[in-house]
Amino acid sequence: MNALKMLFAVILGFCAIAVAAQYILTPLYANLGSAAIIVWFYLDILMAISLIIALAFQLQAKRAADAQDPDGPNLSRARLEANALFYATLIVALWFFRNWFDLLTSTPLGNQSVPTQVVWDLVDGFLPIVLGITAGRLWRSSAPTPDRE
Amino acid sequence: MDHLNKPAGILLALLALAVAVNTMAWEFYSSILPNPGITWDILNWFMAAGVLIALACQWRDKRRLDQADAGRDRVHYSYLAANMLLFATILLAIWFFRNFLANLVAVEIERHFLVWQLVNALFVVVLAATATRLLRRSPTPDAAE
Repeated sequence: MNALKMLFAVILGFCAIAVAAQYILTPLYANLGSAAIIVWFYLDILMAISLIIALAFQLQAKRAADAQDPDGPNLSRARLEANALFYATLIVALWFFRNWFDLLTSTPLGNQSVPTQVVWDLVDGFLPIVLGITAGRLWRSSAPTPDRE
Repeated sequence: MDHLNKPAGILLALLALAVAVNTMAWEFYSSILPNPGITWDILNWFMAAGVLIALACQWRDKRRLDQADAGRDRVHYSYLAANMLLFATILLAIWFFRNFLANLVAVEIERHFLVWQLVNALFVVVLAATATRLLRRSPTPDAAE
């Protein structure tokens, strides 16, 4: 399980860095025809897989954190982080999948309305943050601790 | 490094003020001046430096807080402020540098105008908050003695 978590952490971390880099650097090669849309086309597949992995692990973490002190008066850091991260990723996933399906059905590919393109700006800004945090948490939870030895 | 808190705080506060004023005033003078975009072209370089300084300060603060709070699970104001500011600045940096590069290579995209509105508002809030925290934490003459 730890090896799997480590692998997922690497995938999510790579996706976060790739999306942030591609989003920032796209203007540099925007004049090269359809190069940018092709890179985004393949990156979107990785983003979809990463969001599903992230949501699955975050739901697990949220349920575990909520179960520790369901109605307690004190809000623990673990519970706040698990809930905030889960709902933030859920919003990003809803925006992403709506826009992705719209992109896949657009003709010619990439011919999307301005409001849809604005939502891409929101997705590309928030996604590296939520996936980056999830990757860090997965990596730390997969690392062997002295107690386990 | 703490002796740099005050100059960095003053710089970030001035930048936040400049961007806030220019965001609002631009609508007034953009129709009068022949090339009103030049103010943003110059200010963008200072904004880039401001975003990087803010990121460095907040990264340092979060690391310090994480070290001081190791093993604790309580939610407190400093923890919330440090985390929210850091992640808001990362978001600001992603949006800002994308639009800044697009401006530099003269790529005109319709929606960039909207993203600049988000960037300008977020920039003012994030840098003003970072400046306030830095100025509050800068060593006073009494403490230095």
